[in-house]
Amino acid sequence: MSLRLPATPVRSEAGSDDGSQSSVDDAEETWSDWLSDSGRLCKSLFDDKTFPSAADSLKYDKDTHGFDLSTACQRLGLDFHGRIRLINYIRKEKPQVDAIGSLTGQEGFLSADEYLVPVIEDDPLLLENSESWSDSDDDAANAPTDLRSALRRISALEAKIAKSKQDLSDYQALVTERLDISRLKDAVEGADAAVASGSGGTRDDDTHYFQSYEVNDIHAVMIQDKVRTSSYASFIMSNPALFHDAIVLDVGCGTGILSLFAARAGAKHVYAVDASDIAEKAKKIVAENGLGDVITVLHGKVEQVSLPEGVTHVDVIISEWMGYALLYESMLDSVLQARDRFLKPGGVMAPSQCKMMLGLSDASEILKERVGFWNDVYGFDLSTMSEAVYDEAIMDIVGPETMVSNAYAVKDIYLRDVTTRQLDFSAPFTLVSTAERRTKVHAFLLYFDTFFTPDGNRIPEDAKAQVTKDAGLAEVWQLGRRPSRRASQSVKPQMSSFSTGPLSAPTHWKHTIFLLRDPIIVEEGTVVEGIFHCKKSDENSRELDVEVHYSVKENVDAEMPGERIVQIFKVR
Amino acid sequence: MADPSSSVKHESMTSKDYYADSYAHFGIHEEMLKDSVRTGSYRAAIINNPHLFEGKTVLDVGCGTGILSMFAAKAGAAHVVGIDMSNIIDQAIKIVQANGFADKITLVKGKLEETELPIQQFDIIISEWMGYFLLYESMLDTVLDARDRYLKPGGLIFPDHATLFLAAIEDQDYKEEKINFWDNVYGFDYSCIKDIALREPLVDTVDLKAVVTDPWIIKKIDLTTAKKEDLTFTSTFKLKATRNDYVHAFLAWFDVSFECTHKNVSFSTGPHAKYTHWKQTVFYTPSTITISDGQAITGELACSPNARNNRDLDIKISYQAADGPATTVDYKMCVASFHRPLCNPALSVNNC
Repeated sequence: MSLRLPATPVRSEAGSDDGSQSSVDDAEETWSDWLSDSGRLCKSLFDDKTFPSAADSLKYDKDTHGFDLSTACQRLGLDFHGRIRLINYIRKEKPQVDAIGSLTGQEGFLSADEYLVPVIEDDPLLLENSESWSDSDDDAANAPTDLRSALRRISALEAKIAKSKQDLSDYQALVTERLDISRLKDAVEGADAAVASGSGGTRDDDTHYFQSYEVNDIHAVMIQDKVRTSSYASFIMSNPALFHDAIVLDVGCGTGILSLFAARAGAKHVYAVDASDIAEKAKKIVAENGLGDVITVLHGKVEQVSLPEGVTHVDVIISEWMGYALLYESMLDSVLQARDRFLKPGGVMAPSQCKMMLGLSDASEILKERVGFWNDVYGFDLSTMSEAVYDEAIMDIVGPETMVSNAYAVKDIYLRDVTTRQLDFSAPFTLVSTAERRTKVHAFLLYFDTFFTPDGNRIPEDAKAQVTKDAGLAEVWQLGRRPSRRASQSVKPQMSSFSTGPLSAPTHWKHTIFLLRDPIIVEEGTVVEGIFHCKKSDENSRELDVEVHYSVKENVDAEMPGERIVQIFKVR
Repeated sequence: MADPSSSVKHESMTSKDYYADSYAHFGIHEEMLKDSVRTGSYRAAIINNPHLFEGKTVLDVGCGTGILSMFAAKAGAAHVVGIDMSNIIDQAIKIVQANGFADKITLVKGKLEETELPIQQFDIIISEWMGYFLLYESMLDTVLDARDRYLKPGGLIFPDHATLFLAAIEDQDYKEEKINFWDNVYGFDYSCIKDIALREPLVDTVDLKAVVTDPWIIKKIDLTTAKKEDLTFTSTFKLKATRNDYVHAFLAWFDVSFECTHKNVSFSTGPHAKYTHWKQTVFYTPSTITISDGQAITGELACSPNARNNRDLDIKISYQAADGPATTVDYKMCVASFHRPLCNPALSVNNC
């Protein structure tokens, strides 16, 4: 829907990338869903017995194993996070009760972030209310006897509540960042549904998603997308220094083509992971190409797989995770988790950087096809069919001539340090019309540029993605030959890149078109500025909600325009 | 057949269900309506035969956007009932209203088998039920149900006849691109995918020049008498070569006719006819068949719904050329068969 709002100045929202209001709200919502998910069994800290509540479980541990959690926390002087680290430490490392008794409170794990990540998903012990772990002062004993001390007491308690809230929200932020709660929630709900044998009321954003990658044809489409596959191939094959003797992880390997490239580039070992059944094909393909000793295909979600004994870190993570509008599918979340779990410090992400580019497009052909058509179908008015067209992004291909402005990078994703939370974002943009004459702009157009740097570092600020004119991209690698040691020394590390924009040859990602309810009339120099909001949909985490707020002015120096227009889209 | 799309609650919807609500899903209706052979033929069969529709009651099975119901109303029908289980019917209701037919057309959301209709006996059933290869994901069994439950004796069915054809084609270039592609993917051997790709019939348009034999009628369906059991069938065929050539695939298509109409309206989805969204269906053979003018490829085609998923079709083709070996291939028509990019210049050469 499109709204007209009174003008407010476009704030330059520096830092809005790092946790806009909306993403915080989201996290809270998910968090409280998680909290309210009661009825989960609580497992003893020292054996496999389970109990209906955390309190029962703690009592059991105290009676049977002689371990009292709150006493231990008090003795060690643990705060909120300390307590959580202790629980996770016990769950993970399974120490003897005596060993805990000899802790001093100075141990490294009591300050390590690693132990903030729940070992048991949805562990009720971690969610236990503050009574059982609150600071040592005995509330009941200090019951106030007069108004003044009662007031003092109230304000002290209020301060404590505020502190608890803060602790909880800090912890929530940390865990969300490290673990992606929504995925965890899905997993938990998925498990519930299995138990209740599908009694309904749960949501599964994954099954259909992974199934959609089981069929062959989608892989043919992707492999035959030459811009895509050749860019990966040329990066991998022209950087033997990076791949030679490297341990490589391929996230969402599909048929395994990137793993094969990496193996051919001299990788010591490649771990190829895919949750869809295509992984079984990948295993076959790897074997049939005689690379079974170099490539190990792991069929499972990358969040859940473990690398073989002794392999703790990888040197390079390769992945083709990009979806429509870059972030549709939310596969990047999985890649980032793989990065946090497995990439060695200083390791390389390939691709290393992606930019979401926004521009103005006249899109009149699309409008004619998707809207005009319905106005008269064999003499009938079917225009109701086109109403939804303004609420959803259209994936289609437009020609280079339809682009009538600069392209503005609304999101710069640097794979080495971006976090999942930063993928929900708001960004200001300024687009200046390049139209040579009066033109009706019917759409915002979104595409993305992808970069591969041999050291995984950021590209220079002014670097542009390579525009491929011809879909039959030059084949820069030599087929069927492993680069020799000598080659690896003589070949200069090379950056690769590709663009999915309208100036480049079309890819299977097409272009993302946001049709405007109210077309914008532009001339050369007309400025369209506003804010682009993008976040995961509440209804399906693999889909996106996009909001564009914009206003139009005659030129760069013109006064602030009179009105602000808002239009909301779904990318699905 | 469990189709949740019409009854699921919001919370339990999967991404698939959401998709069923999206414009992308409506896109199929755009494609069908823009198929002028399809929509134009129905229009001609209905609008040009007001003598059949005047004052009659009409049932539109799987009415979609309601276009056929509106044709019938325009042709003078006393009342039209349209039924569809998909969410498109919410749009159809608005469309019927916008075009001033709200009093003539009643739209019902639901499965025909489970729904009570406001009228018990109809003079005419109209339906566009055909799927790829005529029978893939087709609504024919629903139409036959509707006939048995709701059609007056002597009532009319639009269309009333369908015919499925088979021929053999020369298709070296496409086979290279679609099947043999897997032999060498950027220098790697992907042939294990090739075997599976071969077993999935391809929905695509084929040039008439590629056809190297006479067509053969594999199956005739008379909707006034057909039974559900008829949709599982085995037929023999004999494809006579019209020139010396190589054969890489079998090709299937269908014709549909409205024989009850005054001028016997009909259309074909064959390679000789104008493009339709059904295109044709290609069954690649594992090896190339050499054939000479006048010689025949003889064989048998068996078609049945898949036992595990009855939306999928199992199609078994056994064949033998003049002195070649006897070969049998089990094809499976499933959702993958048409999960292909439409008109993406980067990916396909000339199927647009």
